[in-house]
Amino acid sequence: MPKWGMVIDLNKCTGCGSCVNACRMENNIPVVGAEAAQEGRTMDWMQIITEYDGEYPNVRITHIPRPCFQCGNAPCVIVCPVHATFVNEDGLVGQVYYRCIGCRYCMNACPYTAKCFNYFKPETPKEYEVLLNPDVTRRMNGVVEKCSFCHHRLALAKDTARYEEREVREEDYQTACLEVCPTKAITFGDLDNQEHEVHHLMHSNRAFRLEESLGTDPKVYYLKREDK
Amino acid sequence: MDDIRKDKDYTLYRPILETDRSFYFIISFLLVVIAWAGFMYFRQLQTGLGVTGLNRAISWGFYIINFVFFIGISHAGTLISAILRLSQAEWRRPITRMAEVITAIVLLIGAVHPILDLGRPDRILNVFFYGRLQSPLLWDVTAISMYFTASTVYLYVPLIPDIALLRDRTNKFKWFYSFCSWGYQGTEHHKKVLEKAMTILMVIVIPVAVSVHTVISFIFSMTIQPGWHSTIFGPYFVVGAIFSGTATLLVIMIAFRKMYHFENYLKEIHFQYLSLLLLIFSIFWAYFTFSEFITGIYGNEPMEMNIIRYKFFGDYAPFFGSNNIVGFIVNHVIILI
Repeated sequence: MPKWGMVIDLNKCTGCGSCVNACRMENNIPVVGAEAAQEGRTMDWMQIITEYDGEYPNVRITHIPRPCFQCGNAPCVIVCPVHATFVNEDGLVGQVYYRCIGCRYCMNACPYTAKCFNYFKPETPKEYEVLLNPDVTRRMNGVVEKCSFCHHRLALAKDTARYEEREVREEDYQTACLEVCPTKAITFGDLDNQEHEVHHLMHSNRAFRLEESLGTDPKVYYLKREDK
Repeated sequence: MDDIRKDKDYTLYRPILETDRSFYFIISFLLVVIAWAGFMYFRQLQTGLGVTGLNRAISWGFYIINFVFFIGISHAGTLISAILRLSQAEWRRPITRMAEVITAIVLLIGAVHPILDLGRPDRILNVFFYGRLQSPLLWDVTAISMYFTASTVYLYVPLIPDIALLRDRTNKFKWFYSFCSWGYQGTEHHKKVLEKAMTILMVIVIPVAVSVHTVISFIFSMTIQPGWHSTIFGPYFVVGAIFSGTATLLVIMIAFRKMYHFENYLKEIHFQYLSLLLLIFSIFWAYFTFSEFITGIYGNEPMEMNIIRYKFFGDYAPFFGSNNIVGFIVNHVIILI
């Protein structure tokens, strides 16, 4: 079974935010508005963390795009009281919106704050309604949601593969954030596939994972920022 | 039937037999408060949990704090009364009932809070249908329902002779009292059986009470959040619970003494012994607080240090500081004087 994972090159990332926007459109992420965003209730599944290093004239800025890491040993899965967050058959961490009771324990357990909670009834502006993605469930008030590695695309790829009577190819399954990245900072694929670029990148000496010492085994690798 | 008004313990019967105007006043005031809170909860259900001011990083707040606080207070009762009963301290008699009532009622208040905190309270039954026993939250559900059952039974069983007394000596609600007293007549056999039941319950209740608060601390310490992920949390919560519970018991005792004129029953000796207990637990609590922070500070882990620095110098530092000062230093100064 493929082990889907992502490598993000921080050297290439410019922090443009295309991935964030693509994710919003792809996954029907509700628009919370400026006020709620000020109160820290943004719903972005993909978030760009900006790190500042150094004092004023010599500041070095690193943008770290942060999807859900689909941890191999996910802290959120362990604590969920109702199986709403679980490891699905593709090895990804899934979220069942219709079962979630909204206790927000998984939000507290996640060391990466990758999960977000619908504090209000999710709303989409009228003009955007035509743009909603029919493949993705719209969430309801009071449930937790998070990045699913565009799992609906994997489902589609599997269906297509079954129809064409072949195995799922890696080109069939690409996430939305990767497709729009103008600098091609994101690479996605089967981490176990030795021929794929993602496998070489994750073994490069620049590769690291966020908070690796916690033992969560994230499936998202970063390539360290290096000044040339 | 002899006239109950001439009984030497009439002050104890009086609140049951007579209701004065202040009772209705207080009850109506509290009903107004409850109605207001109910309206607020209705509003929260309609608009979403956003009204509580929680956000993405701080997803547990007011409700969970209240939950821990109330469950902590509820420890006073059963634990204190069971331990005192077990050690056969005779002076406990007037206060055990009060302590047990605090337990049962406050536990209920506390247990409601996580439900208020849910984003989808309509799906609460999922906990039973699809429950994962690996989740600390489910341990919590189990422990609290068990503690509630144990403590209400533990409140009720010693109450039987007193209900029988009311059945025999008063006229109001006779059917109710005779139903609740299960035909207790106060014979030797009845007393023996009751005593036995109480002993069994006592032995059950103590470990259950300790486990409940340990499990509540496990909710926090089982995650890998810095500041939560610590082994001391279990005993720390238990000690803090008994500490605050004893304090609540003292407050309630003072109120009852004044309002119902129980001066002959709640004597100085009770306050003295309980304050001693309070002092001991304050020392325990301070010791745990100290060891929690000293390990954090010496370990000097960056994440841990962030939390500690925030606690000592951050936005809530005045509350944290005053908690420590009033909880440990001031009461010792009072004792020294």
